[in-house]
Amino acid sequence: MYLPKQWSEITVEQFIEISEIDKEQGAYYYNTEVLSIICNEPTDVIDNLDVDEMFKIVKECKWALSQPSNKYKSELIGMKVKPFNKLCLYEYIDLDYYFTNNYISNLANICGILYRQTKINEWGEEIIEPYEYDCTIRADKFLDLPITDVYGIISEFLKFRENFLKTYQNLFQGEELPELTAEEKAELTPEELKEEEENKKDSKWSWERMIYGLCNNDLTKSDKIGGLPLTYVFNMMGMKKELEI
Amino acid sequence: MVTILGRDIPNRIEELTIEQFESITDINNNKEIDPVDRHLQIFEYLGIPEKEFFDFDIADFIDIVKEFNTVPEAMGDIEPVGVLELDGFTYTAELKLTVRETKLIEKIAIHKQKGYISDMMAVMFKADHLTTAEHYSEAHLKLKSKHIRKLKAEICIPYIMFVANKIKKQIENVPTEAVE
Repeated sequence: MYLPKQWSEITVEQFIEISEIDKEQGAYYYNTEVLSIICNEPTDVIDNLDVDEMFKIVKECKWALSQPSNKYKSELIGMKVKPFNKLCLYEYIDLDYYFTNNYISNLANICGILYRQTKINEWGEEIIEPYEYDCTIRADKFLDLPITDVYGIISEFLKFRENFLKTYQNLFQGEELPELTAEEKAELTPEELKEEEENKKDSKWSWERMIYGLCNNDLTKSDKIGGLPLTYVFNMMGMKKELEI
Repeated sequence: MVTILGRDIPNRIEELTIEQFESITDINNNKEIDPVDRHLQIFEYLGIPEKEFFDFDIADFIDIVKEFNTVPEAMGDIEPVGVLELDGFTYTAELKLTVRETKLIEKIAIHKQKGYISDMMAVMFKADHLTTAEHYSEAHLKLKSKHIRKLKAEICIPYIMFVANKIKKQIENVPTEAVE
């Protein structure tokens, strides 16, 4: 049984699998699953080991207790990371979805959006391929790469997203409402409960509503809006809000 | 045995069954009730109705509790029983664990379902005539656990100590954390 010695020997797919292990099942369950994934062995092989033997192996995998390095390669498999400040609206919306719905599980999809093919145009300038492909299909290309090639892109994008949300915070008011627990809901009056449900509805459809508004209820224009640069769209929205037009 | 209100009440591990030991441990671990209520519940479980203590002096009750809880022998010195005859079949166990067994015991410990000591023993004692898959099948473990529950508690002590020490030692040495 080959035991990897560092994160660079772990693929994106293995890393995602590790992140999806149910930690509520206990430490031995977790360790077995991790060893099975990183050693590419069926869990049966690990299950049949003497527990002391597994303990020794786990001790050798102390590197797995820390996170992989926060670096990433800006060029991979013939593609380059699209500068975040050049992202278009649709790219950002998809990234935002993947980041708010478990960015580790969605890491390959995230890479599928951020790593792009480029070419030099007749003016000698580098142009980036348009976002006209299915990122979930492209995601497959990243699954076998070492996690250390792409892991850092998560923190890098989170920093960008934080700055972006801060810059345009007046346009994001009322977003990301936390789900109320059953106890919290029980304490609300029927009116408050109705308001809460309305807010949740607004939050759920916020991006769609925004696009619908931007294309003046004409959905045939939505793809054009989605392809515009993110900052341009938000600057325009900011202007509209400030001038109340 | 201790004699309480004219009744012989088992209090030593060679007198209590595993089932009784589990129930008493459960009551003892219930921190939501005070020690007096806890012992009233234990005595009730062992056959003395709570109402019989209603006119009891508290100082006398404390003496009874002390006597009941006095365990003369060191539990760590009990020799492990390696062979059990249950329902016409022979089961053997050793003081060692595979990862699969530890995971099953961990699951039992996490869920703390009724009868967790006998469940743990059922994982450790194996019948020679069964395959690995048969041994770990839920139905087989349940049935075996049911038989084990009727045995004396002294049988389970070395196994409880072994498992507890093993897990304690490993947890102290390797903190298991999520990678994220």
